[in-house]
Amino acid sequence: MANLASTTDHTDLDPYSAQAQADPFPYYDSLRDLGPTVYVPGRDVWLVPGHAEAVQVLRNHTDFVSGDGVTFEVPTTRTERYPLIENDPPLHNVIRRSLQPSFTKTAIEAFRPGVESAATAIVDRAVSLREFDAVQVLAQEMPDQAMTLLTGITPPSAQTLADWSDATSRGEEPAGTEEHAALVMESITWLVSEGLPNMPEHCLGRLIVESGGNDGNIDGEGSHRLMSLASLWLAGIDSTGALLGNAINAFIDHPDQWDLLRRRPDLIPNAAEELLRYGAPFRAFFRRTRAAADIGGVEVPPGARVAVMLAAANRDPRQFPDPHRLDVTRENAKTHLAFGNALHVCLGSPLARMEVTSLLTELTRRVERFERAGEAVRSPSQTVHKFETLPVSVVLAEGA
Amino acid sequence: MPTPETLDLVVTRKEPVAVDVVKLTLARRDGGPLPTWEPGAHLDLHLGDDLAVVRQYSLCSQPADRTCYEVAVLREPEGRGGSAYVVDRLNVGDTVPVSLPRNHFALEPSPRYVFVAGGIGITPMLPMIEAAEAGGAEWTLLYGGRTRSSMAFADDLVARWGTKVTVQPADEHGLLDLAALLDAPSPGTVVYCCGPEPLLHAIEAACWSWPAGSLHIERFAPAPTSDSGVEDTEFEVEFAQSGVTLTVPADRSIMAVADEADIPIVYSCEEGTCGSCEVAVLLGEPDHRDSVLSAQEREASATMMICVSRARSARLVLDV
Repeated sequence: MANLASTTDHTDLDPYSAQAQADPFPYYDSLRDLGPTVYVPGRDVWLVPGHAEAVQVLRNHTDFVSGDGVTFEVPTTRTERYPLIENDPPLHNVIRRSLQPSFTKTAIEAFRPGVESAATAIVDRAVSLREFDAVQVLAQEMPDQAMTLLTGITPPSAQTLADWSDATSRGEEPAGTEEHAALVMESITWLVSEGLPNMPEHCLGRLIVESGGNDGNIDGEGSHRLMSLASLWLAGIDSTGALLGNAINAFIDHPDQWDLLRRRPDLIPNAAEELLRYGAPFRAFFRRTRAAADIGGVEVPPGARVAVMLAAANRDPRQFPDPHRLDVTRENAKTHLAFGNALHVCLGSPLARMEVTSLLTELTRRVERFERAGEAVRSPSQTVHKFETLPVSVVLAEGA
Repeated sequence: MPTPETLDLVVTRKEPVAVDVVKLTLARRDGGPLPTWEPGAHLDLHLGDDLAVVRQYSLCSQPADRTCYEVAVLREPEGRGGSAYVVDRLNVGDTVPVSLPRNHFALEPSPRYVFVAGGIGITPMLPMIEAAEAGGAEWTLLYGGRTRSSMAFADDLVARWGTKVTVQPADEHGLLDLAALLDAPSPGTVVYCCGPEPLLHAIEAACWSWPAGSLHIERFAPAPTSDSGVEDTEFEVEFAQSGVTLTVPADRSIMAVADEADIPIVYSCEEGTCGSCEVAVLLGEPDHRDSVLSAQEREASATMMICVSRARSARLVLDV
């Protein structure tokens, strides 16, 4: 494995190589040692693997814009812009401000009873099954139900919604296909024809598409309102699902941390942060430059495609000592970049946190430990680090 | 989180028990019995003039005494004002809203205990020791602190329990030798430790070979994100691009005031961590309270996080 000469070989730098995809963390470690940013000619991309540099890029939204795309490549089939993530100020701020009041911690708190009872029902089913696929039974169910509570949209099934959300990001990665694009189109078509008409009278979905957000400032012309709703709806599914699957897997690998959490449920909020750090769903988000710009003292040219490697930054030993160890007591876990950082920081992060803490609260009460019950299979997604299937069996806690 | 049920208790005694440490005795105004609790439990005290500061303190009295709760509070100059409020301002006769006792550090039944305390972390150990003794268990206490005079209850403990208690101030003995104390797992022994973060790290390291579940630790509440050490005051903010000047009252944030006036700011975490509300500072001296800016960035003060940071100058001009 350790072949010094190979560090100059461009195929070894490729974030989309089979090896970097299958086992990304050693790859991230090797990348970080090469400098604040590394250019990969074969992909025409500047990689930013360090925590400090990633934060620097994300905070500098003037030099590193979102308006020219935040994914590897926007497919030509997609002509609509995602209003929140693919705009810069001032338009970005107008849209974000229209949605923001629905996503404050206080506003999201209103969903706690619903999220907690969903978590209870999900764990009820899991413990009654004893042996199950943690992706299907735990990871996909939680965001499916939480997003229905938040938006008012009831999807055809959790699996269908998970497939749509998966296709949204995979259609924009190097291995993206027309099938992904078709699935995204299918989700938007379904949303318009069936999702919207069946929403309850008062819900975030109606507030956005009928009223243009809390202050009515999302333009009613064109598809701004529909795309605002569609993007935040689909954004909240695959991400949280991936996180939860990665979390269960992390606890199988670190049973001491599960024991600790069961003894110390007060650590659950911090554990959620540590799981976001350790098992970040998005491997990277992208920015583009329009003029020459600086990353940690290295000049990148105008028109550069810059990959802010969130999952690599989360394992940067300069920020997180002993970064490959899951430590639910880690004091600065909250400085992870799983939600991004700065102006475009994840709008739905308060809901995601509530989903994770609610599910962990219920699971720590009732599950003494998780064991593997078959081969875990990673998803081929090049964008989201997640499991396709994660067979587990649970040993129940006394009295659970 | 929903507001937990609180009791309005009255301070019936306040006495110094070490340098910068006071013991508060809290009781119902009508003298009636208080809710029960177990060793290791803590209370949330609602402090400050508007009761907005909530701090956790371990109960250090005895559960059998239903007439009062006792907590010991160290005045922390680096704190955000909760402990200073208790030590400097709170007086006998004052009312303090208090949560029901909650316990994340419960004492498991065991034939043998090793108790380790650092500084004010001694508080939960007092009722634990009594319970261990009452249950007929063997136990020892190792108690460390900066100096002997800073270590609350040290003399009482030695007087009452003799050689079961080892008091080791760092200025006399150096740091606690946990490796020697815990060098080999001892069957049937559980370890309870409360104290500052370095002690907890050290004991986790020392207990690595012990069976899972042997070590129980109580962590002090996470450090507050900011510390200005002063009472918040009112100041003025000019939003240059918007052409608006607003007053930020002592009890509100720049973010809240700007948001209400529909100045186009973006925010998310509201606690100074996510970086979404960063704005450029054109004039004035910010009082940085976020965890985003580096030391150099704080010094330069080119930007600030308006959700938690305030002003040292009477006026700020922001580029928004």
